[in-house]
Amino acid sequence: MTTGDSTRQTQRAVSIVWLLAYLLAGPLIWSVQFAIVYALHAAACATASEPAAEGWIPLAMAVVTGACVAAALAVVACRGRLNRAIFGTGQGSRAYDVISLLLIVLATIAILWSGLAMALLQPCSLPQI
Amino acid sequence: MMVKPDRDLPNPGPRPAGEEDLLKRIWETPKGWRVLSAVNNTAVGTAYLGIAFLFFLMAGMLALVMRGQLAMPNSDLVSQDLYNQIFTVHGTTMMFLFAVPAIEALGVLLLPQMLAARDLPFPRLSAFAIWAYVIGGLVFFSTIFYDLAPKGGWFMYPPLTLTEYSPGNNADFWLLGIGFIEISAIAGAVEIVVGTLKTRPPGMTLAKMPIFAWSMLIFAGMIIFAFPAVILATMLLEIERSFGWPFFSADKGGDPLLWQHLFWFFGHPEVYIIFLPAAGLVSMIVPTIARHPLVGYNLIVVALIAAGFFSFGLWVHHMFTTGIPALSLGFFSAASMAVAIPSGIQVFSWIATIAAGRRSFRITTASLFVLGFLFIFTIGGLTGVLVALVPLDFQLHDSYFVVAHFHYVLVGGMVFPLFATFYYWLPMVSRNPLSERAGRWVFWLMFLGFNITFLPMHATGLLGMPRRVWTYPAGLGWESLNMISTIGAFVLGAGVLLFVIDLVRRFRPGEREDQNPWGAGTLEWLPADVYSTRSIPRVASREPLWDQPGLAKDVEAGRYYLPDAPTGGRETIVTTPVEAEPEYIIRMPGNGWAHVWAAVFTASSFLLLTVKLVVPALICAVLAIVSFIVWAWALDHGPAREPVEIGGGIRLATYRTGPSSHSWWAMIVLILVAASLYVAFVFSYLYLWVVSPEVWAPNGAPALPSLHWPAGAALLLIFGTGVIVLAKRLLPEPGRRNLGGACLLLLAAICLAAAGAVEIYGHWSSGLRPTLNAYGAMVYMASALNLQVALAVLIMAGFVVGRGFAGKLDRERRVTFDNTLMLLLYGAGQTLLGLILVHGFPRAVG
Amino acid sequence: MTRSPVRPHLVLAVAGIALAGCEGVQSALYASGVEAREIRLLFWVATGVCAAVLLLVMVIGTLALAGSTRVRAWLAREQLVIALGLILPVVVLSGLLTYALLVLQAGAARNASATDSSVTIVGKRWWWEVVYRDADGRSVVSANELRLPLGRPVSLRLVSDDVIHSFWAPNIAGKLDMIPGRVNRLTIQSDKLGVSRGQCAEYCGGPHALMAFHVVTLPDAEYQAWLAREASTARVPTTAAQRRGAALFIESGCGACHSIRGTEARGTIGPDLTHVGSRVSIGAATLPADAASFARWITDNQHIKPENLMPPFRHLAPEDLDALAAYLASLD
Repeated sequence: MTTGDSTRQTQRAVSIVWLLAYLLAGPLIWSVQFAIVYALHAAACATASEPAAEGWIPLAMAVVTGACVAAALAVVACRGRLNRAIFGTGQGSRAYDVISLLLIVLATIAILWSGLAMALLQPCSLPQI
Repeated sequence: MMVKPDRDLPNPGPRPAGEEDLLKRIWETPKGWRVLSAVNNTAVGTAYLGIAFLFFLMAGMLALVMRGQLAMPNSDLVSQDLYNQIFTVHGTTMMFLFAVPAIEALGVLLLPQMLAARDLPFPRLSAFAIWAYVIGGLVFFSTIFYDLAPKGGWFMYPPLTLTEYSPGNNADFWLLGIGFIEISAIAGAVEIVVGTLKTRPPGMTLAKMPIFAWSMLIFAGMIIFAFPAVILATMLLEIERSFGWPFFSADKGGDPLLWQHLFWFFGHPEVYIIFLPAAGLVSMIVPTIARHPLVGYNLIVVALIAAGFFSFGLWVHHMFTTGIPALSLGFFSAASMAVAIPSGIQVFSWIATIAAGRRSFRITTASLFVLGFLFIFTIGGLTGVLVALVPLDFQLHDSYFVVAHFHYVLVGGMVFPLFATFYYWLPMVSRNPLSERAGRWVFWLMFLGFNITFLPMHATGLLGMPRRVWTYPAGLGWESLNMISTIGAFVLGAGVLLFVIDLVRRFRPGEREDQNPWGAGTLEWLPADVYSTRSIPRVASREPLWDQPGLAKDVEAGRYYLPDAPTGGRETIVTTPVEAEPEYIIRMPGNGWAHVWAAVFTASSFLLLTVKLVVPALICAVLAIVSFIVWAWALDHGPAREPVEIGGGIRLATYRTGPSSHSWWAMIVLILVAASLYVAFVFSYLYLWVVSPEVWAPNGAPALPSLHWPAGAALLLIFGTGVIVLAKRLLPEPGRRNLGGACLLLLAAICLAAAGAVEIYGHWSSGLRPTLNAYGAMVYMASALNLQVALAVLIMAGFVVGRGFAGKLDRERRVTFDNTLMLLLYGAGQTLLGLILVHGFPRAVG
Repeated sequence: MTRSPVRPHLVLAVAGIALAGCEGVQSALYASGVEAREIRLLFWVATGVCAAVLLLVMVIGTLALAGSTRVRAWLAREQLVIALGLILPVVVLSGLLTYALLVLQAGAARNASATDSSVTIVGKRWWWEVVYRDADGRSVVSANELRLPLGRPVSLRLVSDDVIHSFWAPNIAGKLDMIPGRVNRLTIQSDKLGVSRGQCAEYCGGPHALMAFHVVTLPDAEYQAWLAREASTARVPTTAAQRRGAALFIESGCGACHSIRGTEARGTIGPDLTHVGSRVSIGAATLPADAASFARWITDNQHIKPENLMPPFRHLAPEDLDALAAYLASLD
């Protein structure tokens, strides 16, 4: 609703929605990965049977994590094109590129750290100490 | 429109005589008791901050009482029951009545100045928020004096806070107090999102925004997504307390952990909601004191955004000891590590900026508080890493170590920057600055007092002392540590007291003599009066006062935009959200009483409801709605005028509808809040199913009503949406009167409400009752949330009909119509989603 | 502010004396269990790393403030921010996170491999019901004290039937919450003989501060012998006073809330008192378990532990009170 209307209304203006999407690509990808992986694991442990913890749960989580890292890399790879799409030719501010890139770096680190947790911890086992 | 900022000034000529007086008259703050009707951001912001600080002082005194009690083992200075009330009120007041409002107050006070806007876009909304907060907050706090205060701890875990274990109204007063801060936080978020994105000065692109504006934008964004979780949680708790819908009772399929999930989904971002703007303030003060632009502006923006996001992935780290699977804890531990990085980036950015100044860093009281903040916050951040290590948290959680940790983070991360802010920005609103000589004493007393109080608490916690204990036995090795903490607390209190004395002696609201005492580079240090700056500059850099010589003089002489009041009322320039090119002139309401009455009656209604005086509460609710209507009636003034000239050949409209209008943005923000609330509800529904699938229909509850019911409701929704399309077409030409459009809108609103009613009737006739079990409670809660939106839409649609009746609604003057329509469409979508969830999910899994 | 006529600190001082010289008796730093030991190592390592980081920040900060022009110019770069604000934390935190997750996984594995849950602890307002399962599978109900066999893992089932509590014996292990509707399992292993203390860590209202317990570690053989005795019915009163006390216990209605196995007292609301005289404390570690304390608790418990759910029994004549106290103290 937001996007379509605002681009139509003010054609020269840079769309805030697209700019935000570009700036926040990294954290948004992290949010998606975090939400899916957490919800998948929590729901599966609460409802699924024991073998699931060995089988498809870790696999599904790994796939989601891998896909999200790939998505982050894809945004990095397409940076130039995204910038042109948002700002038109030669209008874009370098600041946005730097912010977007660094946020992707931080988000990727966060995703990889959650991958570390998956690698080191047995799914569904109860914590303790 | 490519104006060279330095040379080609938009209004180069001299300004007509009397123009400034006109501005002064328009923006005048009323005198005497009428000052209560003021809406100007300086007046409202200062009062807001003052009240928030008052709550800080009062909650601080409670802290001293607690420290007095804990100074010695087996002490009986205060009774157990009173102590339990005191720590609950201390925590609640500090978090909800001091920290968040103080930040919002700073937003209200500083943001328009930093953006050289004449005011925030919705001045009466800020004023409403503060009045609701003042009344609600004071009533909440006063409960401590007559033994009515809540005593469940500031996070009020059920089942302890359910009626069975907390009879009486105490817990309800907590919910009441929170209700007000929820209202004012949402109002603040609307104000700040629209303010930062739409009322920046021409030329101030997003990438040139002052860091404080970035941090406030992120603050507002976080409120939009975090607060709805706690709004839902408090609704559920109050409904369970009042009507026995078992959301949190395990024996009926509820789960006490649902509260913890919802509360901490809000509660952890809350810490960053408080901290990020404070860090933003530091990022404003450090460059000025170092006389050098921030090293790593982009990095700081990255840090703020990243912290804002990651802070939503930390909520379970308050629940590490609840027995959740280890891998779930691992995810949250990983995210807790991730959120440490942005803090590292900020700390080293500030240090690099300090190093960057050509001359060495000036040591003023403000900069001392910044340095103190750096030290304390670094320790708080590092102990944060310790508590984020899951096994370590098994020992540290709920111990005095955690008490030490979060005071290091919150006092270090928020209170010290706030005091730096007082010393740094007070010259902006007071004729006298605070005393620098007394300031040194204030700083050292507070800094040493703070560390003497809280550093030993790390050890106290490791030695086994749990938090929230009224007393402790001798012989466990805690005596001397506690005594030291108590001494430190009083030293800290002495520092604050000295500050208050100095403040009372020196604070005189009014014009400062030295316009820019610290030689800062940002726009809040432009010469200003009640109308804010004389004209609105075009900026070309992040520190315009450093990079655009003569800017202050030209602004003061009215050589920039909008040096006058072309519409004869309060107004400011609305610019595009990214590039900040002028878009239109927003006409803003002035001082008034309707919003004050709205706040008074809203507060009274909630209060009366808390003490179970239902009829007076309803009367007040009706009066509040009437006040809202009176308030809103004056807002949509329509496109009565020709475009006006603001200088530099730029002619701007004075009225906009659709996506460039500020009211459209405000409605989007509100809809985002409502959507977050509903998402939190959907999460809760699915969560309870995961925990207790056995109470779900058809096995644990009466079978779902036949699909005719939801189908009927859905048809009503679709019909209503179709009606809207027609309604839009029936709006009259300007100058004509045609009630058709408005009436069809009302019809659509009635359809929305009817769909909700049909849904409820269907479940009722199937024999399901909300008190049966958690499933029943959730089913009816879905409808309650839908009806809540429907009620708002109905009132708004009635209002639109009134507008049509008064001839104030047509094809151009239609902001009220558009806003109602947007909320209506949202409500239809939400209701439809609810139908799919409530009727589809049990069928899909059962 | 209300003042209680009897000062709780007198009361608690007595409990303190019972543990005189026991500094560290409730401390995460005086580990006497496997779990607590692992956490303590993690704590010192992580704290060392954090202290080094703090030192680094302070040194760099001091140089930025007061260093020579050259040093300051060298520090004033974005590369510094990237190196020390981004890369350094990533490296340090990756290490700490890995270490902590490995410790977490080791604990989870121990919990998973623990075969039976031989002890159930129920969090009550504001005391602990401790139910052992003896070799024959019978339940042995006790309260406010956990006895452990030395060097053997014991799996605790932690539950609650009112509000949320949290079981925390810091010398032995980290805490774990007791949540209505849920069963949490904590596997612990004490490797040091003696008495340590624990306390409810999740605020549970009222006298939360006075909801403590003792952990007594015994050699395995002694533990078995103790458990067998704990499973038996209560000792039959031997002196006249004890017999009088036993009768009073029933007459005064104590049995409505308390059980003394082998007598008519079968209440389940309050702690089981079958062997209360053999415990380290009464009132959930607020008073030592001697006759004088029993007498004081019976008449004055609302001052000793305000808001606890036992009514004070003030009507008893002094000699009756002494008899009742003597009887309870004899129940070892």
